[in-house]
Amino acid sequence: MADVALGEPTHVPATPPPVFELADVWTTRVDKRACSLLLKEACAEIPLPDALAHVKRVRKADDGDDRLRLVVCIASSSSSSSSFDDDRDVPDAARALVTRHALPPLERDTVPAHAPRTREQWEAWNARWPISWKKPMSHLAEPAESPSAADAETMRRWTREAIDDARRGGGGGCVIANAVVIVDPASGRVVARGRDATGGWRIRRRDGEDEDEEDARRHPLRHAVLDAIDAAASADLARDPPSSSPLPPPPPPPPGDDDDFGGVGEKRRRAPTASLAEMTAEIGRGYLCTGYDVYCAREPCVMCAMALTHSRVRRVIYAIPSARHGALGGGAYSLQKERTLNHHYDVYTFGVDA
Amino acid sequence: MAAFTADDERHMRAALAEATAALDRWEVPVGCVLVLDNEIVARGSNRTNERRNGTRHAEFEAIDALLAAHANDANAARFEDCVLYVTCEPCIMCAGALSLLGCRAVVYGCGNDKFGGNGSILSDGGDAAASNGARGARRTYPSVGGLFAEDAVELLRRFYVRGNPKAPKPHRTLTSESLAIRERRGADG
Repeated sequence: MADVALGEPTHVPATPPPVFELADVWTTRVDKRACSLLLKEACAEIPLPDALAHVKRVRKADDGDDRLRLVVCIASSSSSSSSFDDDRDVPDAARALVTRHALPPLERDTVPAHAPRTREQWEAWNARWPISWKKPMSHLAEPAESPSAADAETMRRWTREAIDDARRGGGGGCVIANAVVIVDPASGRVVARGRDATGGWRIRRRDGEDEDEEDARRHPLRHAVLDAIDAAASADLARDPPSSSPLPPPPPPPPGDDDDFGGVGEKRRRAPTASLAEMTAEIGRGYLCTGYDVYCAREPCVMCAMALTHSRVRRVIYAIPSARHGALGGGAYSLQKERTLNHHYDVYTFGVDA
Repeated sequence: MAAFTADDERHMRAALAEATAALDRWEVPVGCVLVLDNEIVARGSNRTNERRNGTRHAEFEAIDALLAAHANDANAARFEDCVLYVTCEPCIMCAGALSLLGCRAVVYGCGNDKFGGNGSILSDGGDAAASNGARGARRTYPSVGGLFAEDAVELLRRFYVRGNPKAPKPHRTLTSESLAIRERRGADG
């Protein structure tokens, strides 16, 4: 790995932030008293596509007309058709509605094509046409701002260590080597280190080839992230050995299939992820890698990214994105966008090209 | 529903026995076996609590057992000829691992609609980039679920009825089958 310069770390969002684009629609004008019935029919018969679910279907006219303006249906882009009658993308149900209510001539307009992510976007885009904004769930919210200068400096320091480890490691049999440092941000202590040691297992070795020190560790799945997580677990067990008290009896079979458990089908609210301090207070030590920051020379693959989810880490910071193998937004895929997972961590990249 | 053979059933019963053993150790009850030439060559069950390591899923335990039997020589272990029988759909991490190893096929019991890497969340086929055969993985493998799914769920339910004693408090005690199905795997560690 060549020497690399680390600039500013940037947050990697679960999905790219939406940009302001417009979608074409056909609108009509409708008397206030007639509006609710018409709106009901339009919503039932000509629902807008899911991608436009944020668009409010009715607004006040902004040209002094005291009628309301209603979105009838989506329009094909303005270059291909100039009038409602010629627009081949207009569904039959929309034409039927127009005829049935003898609606005034339809006007072409544009609405924000994407749902806003932030309040600022909502305010700006809402001026074009009224839209709704759904505040993201707190555990999925993006950090409000980029890392502070001190934070960025800490990130550079540990990422530099990971890179140095990767360069020293000799690759562990991997063509491109990764190394990982897990840090407890509360104390600045290194919790564990990891290095690739897959042993190049896909490449059959010649008989009699000398075994080196890394060979003793080689394992087809020993990517740097898994190596570091293993090391963290071993250290935890060594520091705080399991008690020798016998296990309680295994859980009994549950009662029958009836609902005396309660809560079946009830909408469940997600408890906030506990802080490291809460976890420590609860079980007397850290829980897995809760609250730790993980610094990687290279972006983790999907196996490693999910392993970090299971380990409940706080942040993952990597220097070099991997367009082909990365699973944290450096290429086409972002594990962060999987909303069903029980834990989410923040991801930062230095975007180093190497 | 796929047609399962008597051999499939035999192997999945062995996986369920592994899962039951995990339950007896107060681990999230998921078990698996690796099958080569129709014979079980490795067994594994979840040890995330014991090892204090959220990655020690049944699949990783079985993979390590097979490697250990071959002096950690991955080529000698012949993963590409192995079929995995696992009581619960592999999570995204395990699916990635199985893909990296080039595992021949996977048969699973119940689905895993929160963490599943074989179709429930990510798919093992088609949508290239996002699949388990995906980024970083060597190739995809066919998988089929539903074999003894009820037994697999029953074990998970027994576990979650009491709550995971090793999980931090915010993982409230779960009390219903529907919750158990959602929470299994990944919530284990």
